Amino acid sequence: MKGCHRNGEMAPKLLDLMIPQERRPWFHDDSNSVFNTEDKKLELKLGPPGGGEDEHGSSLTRHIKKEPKDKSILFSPSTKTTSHKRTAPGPVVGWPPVRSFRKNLASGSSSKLGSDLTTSNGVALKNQNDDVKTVEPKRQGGMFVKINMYGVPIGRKVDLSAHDSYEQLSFTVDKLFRGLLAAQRDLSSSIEDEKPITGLLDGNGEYTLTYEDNEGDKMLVGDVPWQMFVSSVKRLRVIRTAEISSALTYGNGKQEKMRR
Amino acid sequence: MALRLPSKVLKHILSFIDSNEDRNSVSLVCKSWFETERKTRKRVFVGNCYAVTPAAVARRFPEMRSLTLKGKPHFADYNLVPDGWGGYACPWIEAMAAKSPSLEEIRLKRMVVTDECLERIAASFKDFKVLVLTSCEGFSTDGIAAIASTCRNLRVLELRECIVEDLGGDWLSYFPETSTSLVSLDFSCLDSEVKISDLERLVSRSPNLKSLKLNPAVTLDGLVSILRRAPQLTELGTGSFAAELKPEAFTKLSKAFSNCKQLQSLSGLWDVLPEYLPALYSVCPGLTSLNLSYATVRMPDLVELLRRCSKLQKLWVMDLIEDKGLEAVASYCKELRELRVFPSEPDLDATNIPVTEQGLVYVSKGCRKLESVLYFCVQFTNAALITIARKRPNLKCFRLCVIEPFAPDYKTNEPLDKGFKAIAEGCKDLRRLSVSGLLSDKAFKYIGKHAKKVRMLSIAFAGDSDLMLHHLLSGCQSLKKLEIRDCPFGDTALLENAAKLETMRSLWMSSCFVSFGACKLLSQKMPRLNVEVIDEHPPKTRPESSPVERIYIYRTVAGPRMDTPEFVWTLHKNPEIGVSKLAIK
Repeated sequence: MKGCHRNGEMAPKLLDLMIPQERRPWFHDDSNSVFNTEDKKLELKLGPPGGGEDEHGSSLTRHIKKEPKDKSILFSPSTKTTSHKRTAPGPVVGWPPVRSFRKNLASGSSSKLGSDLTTSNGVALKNQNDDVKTVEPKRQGGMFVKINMYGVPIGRKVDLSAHDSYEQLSFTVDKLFRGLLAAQRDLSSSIEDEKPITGLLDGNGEYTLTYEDNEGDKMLVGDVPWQMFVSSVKRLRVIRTAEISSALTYGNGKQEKMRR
Repeated sequence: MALRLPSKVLKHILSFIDSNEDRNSVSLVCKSWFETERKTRKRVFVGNCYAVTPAAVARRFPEMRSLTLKGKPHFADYNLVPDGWGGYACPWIEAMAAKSPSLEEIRLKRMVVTDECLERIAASFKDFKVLVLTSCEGFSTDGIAAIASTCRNLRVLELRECIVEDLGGDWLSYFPETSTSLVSLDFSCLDSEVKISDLERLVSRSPNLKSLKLNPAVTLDGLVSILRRAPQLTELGTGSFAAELKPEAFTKLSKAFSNCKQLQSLSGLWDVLPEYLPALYSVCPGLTSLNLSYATVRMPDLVELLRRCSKLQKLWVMDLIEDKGLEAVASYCKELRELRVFPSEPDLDATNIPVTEQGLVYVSKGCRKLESVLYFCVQFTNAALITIARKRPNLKCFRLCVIEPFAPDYKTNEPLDKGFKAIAEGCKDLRRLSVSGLLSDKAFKYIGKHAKKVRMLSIAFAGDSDLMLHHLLSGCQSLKKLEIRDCPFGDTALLENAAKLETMRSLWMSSCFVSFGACKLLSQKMPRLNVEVIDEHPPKTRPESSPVERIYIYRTVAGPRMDTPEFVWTLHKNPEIGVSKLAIK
């Protein structure tokens, strides 16, 4: 039987069962502690424990990290080790932490404001009855659209008003996703391993930038003048170039544009 | 021979000490000080209604005049605690009715209160004066009517954000014609319309009425008529502000407000149309508190209002104020102490949240007295947090909610560790902290080390491993309440730091990886903790290593509670009872 004894207490066999890889006595000497806090005696006591400086914390991270096997997985196992690869599940209970009566109020009044009153970049229209209603306020300064990339679970947002050309947008997309993409592919990625994301606009790269406009159509980015694009884009998507045709025909794509 | 302070002298000294923390310290000095203190304490505060039995409290404080109780854990506000969990007020009311009939004030937060309970209060306490129910539920307007009709000297009746079964507006008519003692009335959370004539008469015969918060069913006309009868109000919650835009209506409203020369606090303003806001301009220069968090009004109109509020100390507003509006607040509202910015679209997919970190930075730079912040936005940067910490080391409460889970510093793609380090290090008086965004274990190392005065800490979607919890439980000297959800730690840190839990009021963990086995072990080793497992599936039917959905751990001298519903298990102290049949090697 493993474990050391102190004060005649039995070693916690339950704890052994829970973390089979290492010996985890319930009461033990400081030197055995994975947290290695020198001054702190790991005894049960009343009163505040001292704040011991934990010198070796980072090197022990791997040591104490557990891979949960039979648990309802919030974090998919492959994404647990680096901080860039987390995924939040779909609708999350109690998040954002707003009281429910605030949620109802907000949606109640914004349904009055309603997206049918505005164009996609926030030009406000009066409704048919000429009632004077408050219209949906849009950011005066920024125009954020969501952007997702194939293979990267985390979506990001891009401020289109901070760009004035497709080239600039393409550069931003590279900046946003290069690190995330590399991290997705290989657990031990470093800066040197990260490949730039190029050829988003001309079909030459591994990935292509597409968007969904205010009529729900999916289009390739780059065909229309920049301002026209900005006034109609609803969200962006970086897809694999090999899948352009299927990506654009899926849904209600009225215009199918194919290059090459 | 030891000199002893005569208890009469001590009693006199204690009459100047109101703070319960101080009184708790006094009572620890020696037995006779304990006795003198307990016999003189009038205001009793119990932060967790299950930490102690009602009988024990009644016994200890025979001169109790005011009782404050809190029930459910804070995360119940966000629907993380299933209905029926507990927090019943009745046993407390029963005990007080029997032992403390001189009780005058009851304040309950997050508790289940029934109509019978309210009727008992009305019937048992002859000189009852104050009832404040915050985030409570389980009662109907009938219970309120009982209070109104029976408590002859009622001064304060406040229903703050309660869920009430609304059986109509009759309850208001139950205030007897002879009742003239009302100082504060808040029925803003009720739905039904009250008879405006009843309200007018009540207000007219209550010369001491200082605070009145109406519900949305009260119209603008009703508001005008009330204001005419109560120009002495210092706190007003309006009813619904929407109505047809008639010029006479606007003038009447304006005039009514301009007569309220003592108004300091304004709230309500549901459905307010921007055209009506100028009616408020006359009271703006005197306002110290303004709650615009239900007003879906655009930034220019908000700024037009706020630039007149030079004395404002507390501002609650929606993110419709935008960064630009917050910049205006920073330049006009120099007395600001508390800012809360709520999301107008509280939705994970919201793409148009109009405030960014810049808005908060403006306010932090411009408002030197700012000490309390609640801020919702989509993304943040370390640089902004560092600036905020540098500019406002006097922050006492900092609650940042970056709505997108795991959102890194959007400019550098790094975790927000450095930013929260700056907050923890720089804001030495920080008492309450909520963190969000992408955070590694390092962030919690900094918080554990530097946040010496933080009493309440809220964490979601953060950290990498057990180290995060270890840092917090082995540091954070003043930690009293810790609530964590969706973080990837397991049993180790919890068990290693079990002793810390007895120094805290409570610990809530949900959607983490703490196993049932660990809960059992903790419960067995720590006799003065209640370890509650909240789970639909009986934990005994699963392996001990399987994680438990929700755990609520709190210190108590009352033992395990008897009122748990079927989905809550308080693990038994006796290892022979409630242990699974797993073979123990």
